Amino acid sequence: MCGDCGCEVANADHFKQTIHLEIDVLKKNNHIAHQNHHWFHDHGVTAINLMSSPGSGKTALLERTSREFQESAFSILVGDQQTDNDATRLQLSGARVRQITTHSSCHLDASMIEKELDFIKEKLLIIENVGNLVCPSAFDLGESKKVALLSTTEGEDKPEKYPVLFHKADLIIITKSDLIPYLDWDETKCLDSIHKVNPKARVIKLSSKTGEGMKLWYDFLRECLCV
Amino acid sequence: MHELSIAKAIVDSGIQHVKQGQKVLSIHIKVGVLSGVVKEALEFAFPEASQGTVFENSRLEVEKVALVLFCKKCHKLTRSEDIVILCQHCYDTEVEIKEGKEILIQKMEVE
Repeated sequence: MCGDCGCEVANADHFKQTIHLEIDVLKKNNHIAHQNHHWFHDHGVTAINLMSSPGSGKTALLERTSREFQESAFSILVGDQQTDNDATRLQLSGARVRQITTHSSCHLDASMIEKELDFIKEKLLIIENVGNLVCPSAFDLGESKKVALLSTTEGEDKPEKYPVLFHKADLIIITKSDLIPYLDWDETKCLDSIHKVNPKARVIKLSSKTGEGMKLWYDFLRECLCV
Repeated sequence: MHELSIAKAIVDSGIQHVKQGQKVLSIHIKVGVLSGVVKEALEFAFPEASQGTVFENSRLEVEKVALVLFCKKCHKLTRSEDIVILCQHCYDTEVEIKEGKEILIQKMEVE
């Protein structure tokens, strides 16, 4: 009889053992993100990770930025589960862009960026993450800054409903400000919601359609390039 | 549903600590409220991610970790299940996050 559990297998070696670990589950992603971060630093690249829900205006913001921002050329990596529609739109605005199709994955991870490092030639890289308010926030890419977009049509309380992404953002951009006159959108409520989850967030409000507030975004990009 | 990616990462990380011939009976994970991981979604994804590995049919135990903030002004701790970055004692926002961001494999039971 086995001495461990009393089963019939003589001298069986199947005793239970508890292994204490405390391992970071995202260690592998974080390691690659760290390598990406070093690559960006060594090549003088400022990388910005744009995250938001689908339809909040990431691509429209980058289209206008491609046409207007003169201080530095920039490359764009754009993530979507399917299609290269966003990359096509951005190419038409003159940007140098590469589409990353994630298929079943709802976010970009650090290894997807690592595979595209050869594409990056400019001093500024903007990563348009997959449109999703939850998943992209868990995966560091090695970026210098995280930027979250929140459109006025999404209502004021999205930051409280999806706090992780907004908590991690260095900059929060309220988009589609041109629609405010047509919506019951309350700026004070929106700012309160942002500051509950990210009291130190820098917040700007703009419209990629009319150009209102775009200067504040360009100022942010300039500051990032100077660091 | 990034929990499938998280579940795969749990299997990839944990597998390195399992010796040849051993089978995993249970695995205990700690997920902070600020990690963005939903317990139920992770439990749903884990059987799929563990199929064909030593984790197949193992029991996933997910422990939620509340947000713990240390206030730099009044030096008190605030514990919260909600993500509100505010000291609940003096209502200051100068706080340091002590717990709540983690996604950790804490322990595994093997035989």
